Amino acid sequence: MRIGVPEISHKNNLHVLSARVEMAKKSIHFPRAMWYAVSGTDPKFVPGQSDAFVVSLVVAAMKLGEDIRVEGPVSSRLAHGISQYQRILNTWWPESFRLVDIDYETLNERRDDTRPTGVACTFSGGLDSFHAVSELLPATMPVPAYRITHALMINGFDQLTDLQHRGMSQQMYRIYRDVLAKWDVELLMMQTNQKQFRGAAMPRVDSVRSYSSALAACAHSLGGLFGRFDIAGHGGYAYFNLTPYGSNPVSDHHLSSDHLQVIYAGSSGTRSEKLEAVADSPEVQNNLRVCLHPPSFDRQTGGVTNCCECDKCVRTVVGLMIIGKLDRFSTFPALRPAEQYRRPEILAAMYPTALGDLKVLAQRHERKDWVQILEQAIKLNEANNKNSRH
Amino acid sequence: MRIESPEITHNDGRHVLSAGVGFDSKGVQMPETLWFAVNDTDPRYVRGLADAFLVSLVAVAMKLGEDIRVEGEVSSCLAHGLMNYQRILSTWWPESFNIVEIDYHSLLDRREEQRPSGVACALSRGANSLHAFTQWLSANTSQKAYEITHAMISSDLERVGDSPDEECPGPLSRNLRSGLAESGIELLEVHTNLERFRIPVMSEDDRLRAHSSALAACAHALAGVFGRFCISGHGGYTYEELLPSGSHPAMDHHLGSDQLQVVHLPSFVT
Repeated sequence: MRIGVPEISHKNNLHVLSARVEMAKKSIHFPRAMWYAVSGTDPKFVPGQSDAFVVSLVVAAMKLGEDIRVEGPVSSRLAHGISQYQRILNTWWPESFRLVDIDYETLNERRDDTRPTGVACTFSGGLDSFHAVSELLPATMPVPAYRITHALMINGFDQLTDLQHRGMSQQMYRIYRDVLAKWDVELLMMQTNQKQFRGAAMPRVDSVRSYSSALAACAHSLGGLFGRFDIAGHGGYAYFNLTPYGSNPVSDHHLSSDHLQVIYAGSSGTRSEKLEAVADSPEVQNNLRVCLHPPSFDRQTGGVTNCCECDKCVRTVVGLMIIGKLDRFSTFPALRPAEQYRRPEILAAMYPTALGDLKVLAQRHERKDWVQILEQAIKLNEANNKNSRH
Repeated sequence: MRIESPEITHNDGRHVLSAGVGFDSKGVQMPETLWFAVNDTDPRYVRGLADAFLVSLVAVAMKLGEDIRVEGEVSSCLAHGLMNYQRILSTWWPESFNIVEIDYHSLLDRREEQRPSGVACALSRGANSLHAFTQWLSANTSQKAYEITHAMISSDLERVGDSPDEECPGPLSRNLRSGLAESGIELLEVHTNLERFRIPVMSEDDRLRAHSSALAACAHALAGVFGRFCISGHGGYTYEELLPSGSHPAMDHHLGSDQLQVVHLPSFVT
């Protein structure tokens, strides 16, 4: 794989950072160039810097077993970190990710200019996102240099993919721009075609295993703006949270350069603790989107909605029922009758860790009824798993 | 706990970096000063920077449940990292380590000067550190910015240092110094009385659990020399090897500052 020197261009009111990508394996159909684009004010791309492209493409190269040649300059620290990131992916999923050699034409030994002052966080409207933002606001972040200034929403990542501009991404942007503005946080909407590269090279399961690199790549593309970048983590530091996963306190920090610190954030609590922490915020109550399906909107109000049926919706609804705050949330418009969320055989379909987390939540709130239901669900879940193993 | 502004003194060819330390807890016998000392060459301590003292004492304060007031300057990056370091220790060993508040008199948001070019590795008598050391030799790394320039030993982390004026270049350091010099690597031996603070309040297990902070503290004391500092790990990245431990790939980097990158170097060989 060869990654050309990045170029900056302006097209249709968009600022575009792009680099040519050539593959040794001609049977894989990649676009000719990878690009990142933002509209509005100058995004402060760093001319020529290739960090964003190597971070994004290293996983595809590992999957394909192709060595990489990078023609633009790359940060020394990032080059060292990527060697460890490769080691981690290869250790955890050796059948999917092979170690590849990376030939850097230029490594930046030292960057004389100072680190940019922007502090950003990925933002999707989900629980991890809202919690990460809340942890980075001045009221909760005691270190001023780490207080959030920007949130980054990515059109071209996971379910939020609307590169044909059918309206979904703009609607998401409008909703969350106004929500975040109340906290003096500027929302940036980025578009990128990196999903086309990842999708061509690997199945979804491998994309999930390496998703923090896709997020970090977007932050690196705005290397003139961001000095710190938080990836909202899914859990704390307990041993079970170190289980191999696409965003992890062991791996994410290796995606940093000397000028952009990538931080695994939001790791101070479990998912249920995060829910408790943000559940009283009106902004969260009116805009929380946890659903596994693509974004949907209320026809009358235009606000985001959740399906109320998928695993993450059920988990969140049950959590809110336990703490007695479900009625305050307007983004779950199609709730099933309450008794259905209390049926152990339905809850048993959740991950065991999710069930355990909800049980602890129920214990904290002295909800004996829920503790009993969740214990039954855990037993059923164990029995189901045992049967499926046999 | 109160950590006063650090001072630099010179005495009989030894350069000493020290800071006064006061405790709230009654009945705990601690020295009044924490110090780091190196022989001969100018260690290029960074005047006024309290990073080394805070990294040294955070685990002690957590063990005692004492909040900290730091009167010297501390790197913002380190202050942020210590929030996570505390969370990790407290999550893994809640019976030993309480999360404490740290009140900073002065946080350095940006350091204008360049990161020092020194790359150091902690050396002990152990196989892990020797293996890590060889991994970072210029012959074994393709990245110039990570080629090792210094080896750091601190035998005082395995015993109690009595005085900053004490001369103790033991046989290990004498032999190492000449051997390393042939490879163009400078050996720095750091003396410290850090264990005099740790031993009275922390069990041997707890000191091992906070092992990487003691090593990183010695590197921070030499913040004018080192830009990267490697702590050797005992294992790789398999889930079984990620069990809570005093040096860990999810933890050690939180002990870095903007100027000093602390790198956990895993070991991929048994």
